[in-house]
Amino acid sequence: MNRLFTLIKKNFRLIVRSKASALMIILGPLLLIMLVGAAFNTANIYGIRVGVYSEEYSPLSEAIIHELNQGDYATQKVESEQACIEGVKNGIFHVCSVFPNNLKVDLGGNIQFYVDNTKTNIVYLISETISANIGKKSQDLSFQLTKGVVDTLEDIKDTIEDREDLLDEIKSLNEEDKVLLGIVSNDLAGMTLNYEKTDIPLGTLQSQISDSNSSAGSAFNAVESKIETILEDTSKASSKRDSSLEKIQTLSQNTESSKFSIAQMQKTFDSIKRDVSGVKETGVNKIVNPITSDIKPITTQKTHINFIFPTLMIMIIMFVSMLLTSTLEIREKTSRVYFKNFITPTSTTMFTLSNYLTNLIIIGIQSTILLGAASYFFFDNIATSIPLLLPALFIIISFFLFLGILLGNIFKTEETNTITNISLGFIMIFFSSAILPIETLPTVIRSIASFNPFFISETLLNKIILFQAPLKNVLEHFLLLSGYLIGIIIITLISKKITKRGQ
Amino acid sequence: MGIFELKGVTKRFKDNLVLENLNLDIPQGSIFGILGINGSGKTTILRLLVGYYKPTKGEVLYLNKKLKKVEGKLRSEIGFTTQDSAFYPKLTVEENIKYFGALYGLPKKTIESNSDRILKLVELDHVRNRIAEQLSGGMQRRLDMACSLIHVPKVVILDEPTEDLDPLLRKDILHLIKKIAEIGTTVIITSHRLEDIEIVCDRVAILHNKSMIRSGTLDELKEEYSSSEEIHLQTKNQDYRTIVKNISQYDTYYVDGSRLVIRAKNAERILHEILHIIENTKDKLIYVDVQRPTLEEVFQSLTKDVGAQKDFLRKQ
Repeated sequence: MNRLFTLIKKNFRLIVRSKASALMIILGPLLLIMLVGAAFNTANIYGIRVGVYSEEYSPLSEAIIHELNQGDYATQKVESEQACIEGVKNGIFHVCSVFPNNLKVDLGGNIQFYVDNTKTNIVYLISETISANIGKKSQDLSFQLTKGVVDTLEDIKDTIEDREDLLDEIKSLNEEDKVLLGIVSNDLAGMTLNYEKTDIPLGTLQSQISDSNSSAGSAFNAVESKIETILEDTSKASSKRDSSLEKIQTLSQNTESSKFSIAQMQKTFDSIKRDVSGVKETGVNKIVNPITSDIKPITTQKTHINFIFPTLMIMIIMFVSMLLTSTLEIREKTSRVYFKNFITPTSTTMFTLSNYLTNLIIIGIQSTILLGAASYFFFDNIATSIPLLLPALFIIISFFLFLGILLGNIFKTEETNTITNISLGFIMIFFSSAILPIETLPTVIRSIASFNPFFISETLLNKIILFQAPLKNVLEHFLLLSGYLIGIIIITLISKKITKRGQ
Repeated sequence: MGIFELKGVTKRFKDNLVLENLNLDIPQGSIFGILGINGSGKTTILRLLVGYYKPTKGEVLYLNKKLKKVEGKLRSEIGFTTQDSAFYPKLTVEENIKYFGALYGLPKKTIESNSDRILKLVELDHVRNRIAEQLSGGMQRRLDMACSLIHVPKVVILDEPTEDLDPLLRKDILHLIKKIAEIGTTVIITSHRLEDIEIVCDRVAILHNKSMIRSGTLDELKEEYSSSEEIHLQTKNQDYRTIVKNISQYDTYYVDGSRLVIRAKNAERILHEILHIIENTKDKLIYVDVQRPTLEEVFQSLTKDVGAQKDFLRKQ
């Protein structure tokens, strides 16, 4: 233990006494995270300059420009579209907005934006916020237009309601007509008009008359003739009654049909009233934005820095760990003291262990400072993650430290070592979600990349810091990283044995 | 029994054969010098002794046991000072010494007492809290030695300890080496500075053409390989041609500035002849001296490779 302690003490003394190294080691990562943090902090965006151009500014385009000026945007009208675009190219404007000639609601129009895509950090942010502003104005206009339509519909509904009494009146008259028709029909049907000449006992009467009085015979004949005329008229009345009954039947059917039509009309009016009422109840806002989307974050974090903090932390841990240990390893290996150390009874494993522990302490301190700062500035509940965060960081840091020792053991010069470290680091970053989501990679590469220790570490820290995931949710990552750690320790020790100098 | 023994050791680095069939016995308790020109493999021998290099062929024994079997024991019983000062320049003198004490597995108390003693021995106790890089060249060399002595080793190996030092500092270091030997430590020293080896070593081994060509005490070597003596003389007329022409049975001669140097086995008789010639030619003797051969002469006698000799002498 004394040897190990002495070796660690010696390492620290060398670092502390080399002031430049000490500054770089202690302040470097903090400076790095501060700068990156500031770059990715999207809580606020200030002083965005917007170049504006239109052949003819309409009240609507002026209103939109006014809307932009109300925010944190400084708009400036330019004399041509080309000048506006050049302004973006030359960095005079962040965005160039070209409004259609005499923009009007009834004519519609498309506002064009020109952005500098090379400024990836702000371009999407600017586009998003400006579109939101324009969208807001556009929404106001839609609201007004739709409100007019809804008000007209409301008027129609009121008119319908006013005229509904007339419909009821028609309905009741119709009912009355129908009843009267029934009565008339019954009356007519009840009339007896079917008389036959035989029904009248004219023969008997004639024989009695013939026997008694010849003059009565002639009267009889006259009566008979009259009766025949009445019978003819009755027969004609019967035919007309039948015809009238048929017509009354048709009239009754028509009345029934009218009743049905009135009922249908009533239904239609009711439906119109209901629909118009529905429109009113829906509200203009819902008509303008029938489907609204609201993206709810699954974390309580506020700015982009919060989301990328775990990734930034892993990046710093990875680069600092690998570079520190490998550099220390190479410096020790190429130093004049190496041979003298070699011939002492202290094993190379002890030197490796001291290198690992020295840097573990340094990275541990750096990580504590980073977490402390993060906790103070943007993570309120980091303390709850500590039970899982500490072992996770221990495994992650240890893995990258041993990877650094391995590289330092393989390479002979600091230059080659540094280039390899940086290259390896960037490969790991590229095959992770740090720059682009891993989902954008081809399937095969994605499945390989999912075993990338950087990606696993990043995912693990994300889950622990951002989502306070329980152990069962991150156990797989823990086991995988532990496996990697054991593997890298074994490979490092084997490589130490193989590359042992002086053979 | 020697403390180290190399038996038929060959060392090859890929295609580069550095040592071939080397046999060497280093006795315990002596100051043993290994002589050789630059690049002759002196450092390789030292690194073979401590197990840093494994021999391609042959074996290295420590206290009559194979090195592999006693590697742990060997490491705690040897101290090694390299050509370049090997310590941490950002640590203080005392921190460096204590650091190595810990690496040798010494208890804290022993480290404390040993460092006091060693600092006094190497005369650095007055600068014990000074950052090592701020020390002078000689002090740095002494600190390097102190780091190798903290565990009071049985053997101290010094690889070119006087390299790059001015004459005064060289003298200091050589004095220190003698002091280290006086406390019973076996010292193995390599150098291409023959005069340094001659001052401190009891025994030497001469390395040439990838192998050990001779080893023994200084007197043995001088006796065996340089029976001639050197007559250094200077006359008023400096007509050395006549002198050389008229003397008999000399080995070789050369003119060194204004003086004539004649190497001969029977210096007394030759000197007599020279005096006679000077008298006959009416010249006048200004300076005369008869010298025993130096280690350099022994080395020259043993290393027949003229090119190598010239290179060696040029580097002197």
